[in-house]
Amino acid sequence: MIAAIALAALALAPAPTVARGSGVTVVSQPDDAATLAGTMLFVRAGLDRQSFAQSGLAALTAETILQTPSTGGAPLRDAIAAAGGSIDYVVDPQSVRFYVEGLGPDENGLLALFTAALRAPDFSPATVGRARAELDRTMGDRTALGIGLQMLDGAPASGTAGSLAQFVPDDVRAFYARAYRSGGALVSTIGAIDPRANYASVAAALAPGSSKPVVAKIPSVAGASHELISRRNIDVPWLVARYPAPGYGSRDFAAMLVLASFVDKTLGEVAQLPTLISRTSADSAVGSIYAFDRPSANLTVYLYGGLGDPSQAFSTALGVFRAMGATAVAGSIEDFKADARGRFARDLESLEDRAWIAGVFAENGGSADYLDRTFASIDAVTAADMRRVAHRYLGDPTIALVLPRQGT
Amino acid sequence: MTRRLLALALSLGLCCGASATATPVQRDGALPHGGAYVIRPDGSAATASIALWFRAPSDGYDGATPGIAQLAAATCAAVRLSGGKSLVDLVRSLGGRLVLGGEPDMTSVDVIVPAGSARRVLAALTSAYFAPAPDAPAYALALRDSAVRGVERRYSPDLAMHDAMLAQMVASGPAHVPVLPGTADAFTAIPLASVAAFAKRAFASPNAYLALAGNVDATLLDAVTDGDASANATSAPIDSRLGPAGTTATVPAAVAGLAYGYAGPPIRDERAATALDFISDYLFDPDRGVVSLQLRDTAANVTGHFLTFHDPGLTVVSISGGDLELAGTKVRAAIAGMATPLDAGTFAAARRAFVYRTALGTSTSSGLADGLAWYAVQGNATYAPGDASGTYASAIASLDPAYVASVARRYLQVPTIVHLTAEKGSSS
Repeated sequence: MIAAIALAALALAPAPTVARGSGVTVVSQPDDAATLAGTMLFVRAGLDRQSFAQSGLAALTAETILQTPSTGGAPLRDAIAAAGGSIDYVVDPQSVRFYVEGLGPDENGLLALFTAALRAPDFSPATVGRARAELDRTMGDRTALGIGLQMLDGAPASGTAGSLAQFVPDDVRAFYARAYRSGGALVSTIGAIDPRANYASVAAALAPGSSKPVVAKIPSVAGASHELISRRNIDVPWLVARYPAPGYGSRDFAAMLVLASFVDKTLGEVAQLPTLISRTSADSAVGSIYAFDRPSANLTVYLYGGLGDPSQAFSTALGVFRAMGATAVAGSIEDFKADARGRFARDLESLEDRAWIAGVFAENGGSADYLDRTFASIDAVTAADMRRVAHRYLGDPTIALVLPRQGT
Repeated sequence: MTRRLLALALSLGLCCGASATATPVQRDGALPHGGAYVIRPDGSAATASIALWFRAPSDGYDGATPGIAQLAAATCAAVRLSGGKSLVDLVRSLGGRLVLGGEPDMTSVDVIVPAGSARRVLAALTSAYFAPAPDAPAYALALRDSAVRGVERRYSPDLAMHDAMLAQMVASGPAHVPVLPGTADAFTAIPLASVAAFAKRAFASPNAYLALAGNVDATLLDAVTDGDASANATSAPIDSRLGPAGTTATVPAAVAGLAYGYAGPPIRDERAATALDFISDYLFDPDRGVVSLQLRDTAANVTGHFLTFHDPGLTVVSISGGDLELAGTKVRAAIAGMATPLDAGTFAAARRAFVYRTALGTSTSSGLADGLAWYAVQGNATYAPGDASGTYASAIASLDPAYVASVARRYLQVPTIVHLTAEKGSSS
């Protein structure tokens, strides 16, 4: 019994901490049980720093940093792999997120390689060319669902082969000079991190100051359709609908998490998914994605036509969601709340995901105790909250239809 | 017993600098009614992972009922328990996920649930399997579930080649037939009474290995109240008998592919098994492997793993898509090249990358629990990557270029080759 109590006590998690100073926020989640350490750097150099004509420039700049020659002349990504770690990045609407991970004792050395490249990227034609080739190569992996999401996003995060081809090294250099600033930067560390290390120094590789987002003036068009149609070489259609949704800082955030569980269950029912024990490929044919980490947060729902003609089921589901705003959910909502807790937690298994969510919560002044706060908020959701939030957000989606080309 | 204490970790930190990774806290022991457990708490994790694994032949104790282990596992998951819900319904109602799986010699039930839910699930899980009561409704659902899983496995290039290769390499024993037959008829041929008898024997508590990781603590073990300590356990891992090496077969299948297989060392030869893990990682890691990078701009997909079975382990390399023969030529050349020692610089970088990727594989609670359970069932629990004893890490540290090349010369010379040809009407 004493051993059991001791084991339980040793497993207590150190509380995440947030430190703010000189424009850089540092979130720390030390984890004594971890072997790996990870560091995520959020730089305000995301999609909103590029104009529509610059589609793909934010990704090309980030990739150029990873292609910058490092130890022994190898590109940074290869040099970090050879040193026993990994590096990657994600281009978000506001930020580019770089993530460096390795064994705890190696992390500082890996970060030194990263900050050297971040401080002085190589904008030579050869390096920018490698970066462009890498983006071109990964572009081919897009699925029909990905195409639908991209249609709703307006443009792919990593550009198109055509848009990337227009950029010369000076374009990349100029974007870096303008957007890679320490203002608004955030460093989120996790795992077997060195308590003596100064993780804010990662952001010190950036020039001081801040950049501003590009403001696009889009004239309103009377009678504009909320339906986008694309025809591709696919066998069956995909239907995708997107609703505006509250961000994580909103009081409606937890209710929308619970609504997302309701939406998933409803989609499964109207699509008449077979009730089985295991998750099968049919389960991935319907679902929802709640993107709460961005200024224009949204809830996307999708349905795959491989289960039969999806249009009737999709129409039924959207009707149910619209009706949610006027009527209460029949029966208890406790199962939806429990499901929402589970979905939220299961998305946070990896160190990288936990570094990301802590960073997201710490932005705009929030604390980093994301799990307890979110669980408590979900527990407090009522049926009236769900109806109110559904009424506010689930009325008028934008729909993307990815259809087979005629004759295919 | 608690294998490692925080005090030891702290002393290591004092010796090696504060940035040294702390030795993880791990405890193992016996379950209340037989069986073994291992627990690795991480209070900062958002999830709890529970892996309940059993040593059991996938084709039944008569060796003539392919699929019975998976059908029995599914039936137990679907039986309504005393609380009114089945195990799978309970897990779903908590927003968790239940995954059934297995290999020829073992059956696995993996559950992941949000922090705070592990106690209820562990009680239900051990009730469902340690006191199995298969009934007709659960059996009917399990039949449908197993049939769908079997068909999906048949259409998965990697898994279809895995099954075909084991059938070709193994002369007799459970590995000679697929863990999940690819047709519904194979399952409906197994009566409920046989399922119940199998479940009672295979899922008896003394035959269980329970691994808990993530947001868990040792007090959860109080939730294990079912079991029969007097039941028999399968005392030794279940091995299959190899056939002759170097054969070639062409097998009609739902998907096209090309696979190479090599018999390897038993799990007790930790250094050689680790060398084959290293070679698989160096050549076939999906993102950084030498062969994977050679083929990344082609339509071919390649996977390669050393399967750490009790005796023997098996290396299986599978290719699907694109020009199979061209990709196969590159695979064979790369494997042949491993018989020559890597230069010191290349080896050092590859080993560092291997150490990292091994740690990455056990960095999630589900990955860690799975690994701990697998190696325990195979008879060498402390050798599991991520085990607190550090045995696997020591084995990696013991590798050198000459030794790795000698292992390649010994175990990767004569492949068994399987060509899967897509049946008419199947996708390729």
